[in-house]
Amino acid sequence: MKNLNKAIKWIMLLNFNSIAFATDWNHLIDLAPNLKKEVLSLDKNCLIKAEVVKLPNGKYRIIEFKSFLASKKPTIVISAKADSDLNDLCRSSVLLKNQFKAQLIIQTNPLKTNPILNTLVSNNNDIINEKEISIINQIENSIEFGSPQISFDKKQVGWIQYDYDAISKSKGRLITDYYEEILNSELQKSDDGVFYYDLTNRNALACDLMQGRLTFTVSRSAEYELGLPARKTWLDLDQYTSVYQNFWKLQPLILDLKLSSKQTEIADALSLGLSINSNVESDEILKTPNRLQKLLSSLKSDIKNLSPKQKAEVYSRDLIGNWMLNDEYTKPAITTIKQNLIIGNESIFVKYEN
Amino acid sequence: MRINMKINIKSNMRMILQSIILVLVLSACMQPQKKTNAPQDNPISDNELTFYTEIFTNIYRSWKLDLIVLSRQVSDSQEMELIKAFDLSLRTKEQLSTINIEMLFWLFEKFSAIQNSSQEEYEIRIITQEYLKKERNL
Repeated sequence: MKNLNKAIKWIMLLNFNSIAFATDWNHLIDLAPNLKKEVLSLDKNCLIKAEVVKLPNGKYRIIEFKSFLASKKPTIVISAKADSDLNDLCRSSVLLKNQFKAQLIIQTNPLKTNPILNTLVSNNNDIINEKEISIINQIENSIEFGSPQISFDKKQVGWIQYDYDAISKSKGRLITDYYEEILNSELQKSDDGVFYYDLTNRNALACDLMQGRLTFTVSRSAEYELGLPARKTWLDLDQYTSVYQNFWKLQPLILDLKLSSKQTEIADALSLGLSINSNVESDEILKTPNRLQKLLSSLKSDIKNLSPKQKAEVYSRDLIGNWMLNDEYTKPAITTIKQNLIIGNESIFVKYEN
Repeated sequence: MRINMKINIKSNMRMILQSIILVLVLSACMQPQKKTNAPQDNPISDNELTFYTEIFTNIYRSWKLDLIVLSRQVSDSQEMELIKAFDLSLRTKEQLSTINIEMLFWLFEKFSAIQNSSQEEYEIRIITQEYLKKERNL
């Protein structure tokens, strides 16, 4: 019960938005085509980075976390002289029972422990914009972080083969599974931010961690509302290419008619009708009111300054940008996403303290 | 006397016959000239005009029906103009596969200008006639 309360507390603390609000997906669908993605750094060391879109109201919606790294490596602080030989120390401890004091320190919540910016730094195309508003108020989609987890990556048995207590308690499982279990169990009981674990009675584990035989990853999940509506296309690239080529075959004929700009728009719409092949469902174009206008403007949107003749023979690969202008947005069927965030998976830093 | 009379009758008959032949030859000569003049004045037969008028009426009516439905979904007038043009293009292509962009543009302007539905049939017939003339460079 105590653990559950703690977990709830974590979630509450880490929830960016204290006030729940219903997302206006229709509004987001309208905004989506013009929203530009950028990468934001949420801390001074750029270790917490997220891909976001900026909304017209100045707020940001997180699309995806790019990194969520702790500012400090997992550390084992041992009471030993700075020039102590780790192998001698471990041999003496594990085999001769001359235990040394050891403490494992792991940062588990970069949002709490990293030097967080009071201002938001936008790093988009090397342009840095600083905003004088706190980060927490700037992120619109609500985010819930799960509790931190430790999982061993490298499981080489060294000194731990002499940890008879762990071997007996592991009950036939891998000894590293047992360590994982006890570390995670202690982790859930600890306060969020930094995890301290006494390894004085687990020197064998400390030694294998310090000597790199065992390595682990610290992670936590983040569940958040999707930053953008779902993107879908109603016309495939090959269909688009054939329409594009046919449309540009007719363009010189329209130019010959010497029409006003308004008349040219009409002539373009007429020529689009003529350009549609049987493989394109023409009804699809009229299904949504602005599909036609978007399709026309994508056909006219210039690519690489090609002549009409070149455009009439263009390859699909050169039309991807134009084709994507026809993408549409809808409310996603599942509105939340869960992402596993790696907080750290580096080797242990050993700190000697007398 | 009797023989003379016979000769006179015979020569009269020949003259009459010659006159008839002359008239026939002359009229035969006149006739082809009349026939070659006629198509230049009216090269589109009634049957042809009726046939094409029916096609244009079908195009116009199906287009108009589409527009009634589409206008309920579109509020922007500029967007509606584009939809009108695009839809006419599709409807025309269904029935006249050989239409070119210039003629289609012309047809769009003509169809868009039809105001009075009671005169619709008459106007479409006139448009059809003009269309056929334009198409044949007459």
